[in-house]
Amino acid sequence: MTSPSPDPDRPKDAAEAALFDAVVAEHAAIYGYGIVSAHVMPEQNDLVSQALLEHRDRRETAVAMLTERSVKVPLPAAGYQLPMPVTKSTEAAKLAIRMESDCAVAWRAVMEQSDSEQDRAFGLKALTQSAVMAARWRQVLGAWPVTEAFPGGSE
Amino acid sequence: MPRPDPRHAPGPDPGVIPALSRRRVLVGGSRGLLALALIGTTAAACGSRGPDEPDPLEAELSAARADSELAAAAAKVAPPEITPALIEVSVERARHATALIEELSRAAGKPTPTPAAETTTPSAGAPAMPTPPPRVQDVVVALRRSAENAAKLAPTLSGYRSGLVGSIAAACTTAWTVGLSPAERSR
Repeated sequence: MTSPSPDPDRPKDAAEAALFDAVVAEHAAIYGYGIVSAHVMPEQNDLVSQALLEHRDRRETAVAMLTERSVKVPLPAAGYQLPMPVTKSTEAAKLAIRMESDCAVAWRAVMEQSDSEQDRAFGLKALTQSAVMAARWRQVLGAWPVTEAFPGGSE
Repeated sequence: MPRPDPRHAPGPDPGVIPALSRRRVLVGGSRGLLALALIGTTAAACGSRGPDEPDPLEAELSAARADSELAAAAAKVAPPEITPALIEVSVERARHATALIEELSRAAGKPTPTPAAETTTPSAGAPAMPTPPPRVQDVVVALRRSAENAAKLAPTLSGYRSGLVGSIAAACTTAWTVGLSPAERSR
């Protein structure tokens, strides 16, 4: 899921830009999970709640990391385009998988670009959470394989 | 049901293209970084790490190979409903090994490290494979250990290596917590 236009505030520094992108991805995921929540079966309510907690927690931490570096924090977009139509529970699960994959890519980029061990450790935590969450949604969907070899990566 | 914001009314699936572009940018970014990572590695090889000191990815490679073999052996004797998940674990850990070999070779500027490294693997503590045959639980224990080791290592690395080992750690965690979980078995 993407915001409509590239943000002119995106920093030039690669490490800061990666963190900025991660916040953008988390904003989008938090918006998108509202759509997911509206369409999934009641059995998945706990999964949606856990995912939202993780994404909100990560967004707040990433925002704090940017603020610490005196980098302007990206705001949530005024509106989002969904990458696919979502009118039923299976499509909601697919959207969730897509958003977790986008977040995994963003956080792996933080790991690769960051010069701080602490930030890389947080990137790993976020990458792992998104990988686990994507797998759980694939399980819900009955998709196979449930797991992937390189979450957030292109190997 | 909320309707799409008309200011961002979708054309034919417009979200996909910008999303892919962003992904390409990120992928491109990590490729660009690879060159930097290699320079960093070379510097490390000449500096902090002595010539006889093994590349930290060697232990990751040994663990990936050992896990792959363990999961494959467990798949042969496991209940049929868990067999596909064990085979998937074996395939993924083999792919980890391949990616690690590539990175090790690039860093060393020469082909494949010696298989002798396998005797000192962190997964060497796993049960010997021929007798008794490994159970699903043995694979879970091995993956858990591999996930912990990779998670410790990844933040200490930089550039592409940090991302690669990070993805491997995330994959190992997902494999034992979801791939081999009871929910999966009841599928």
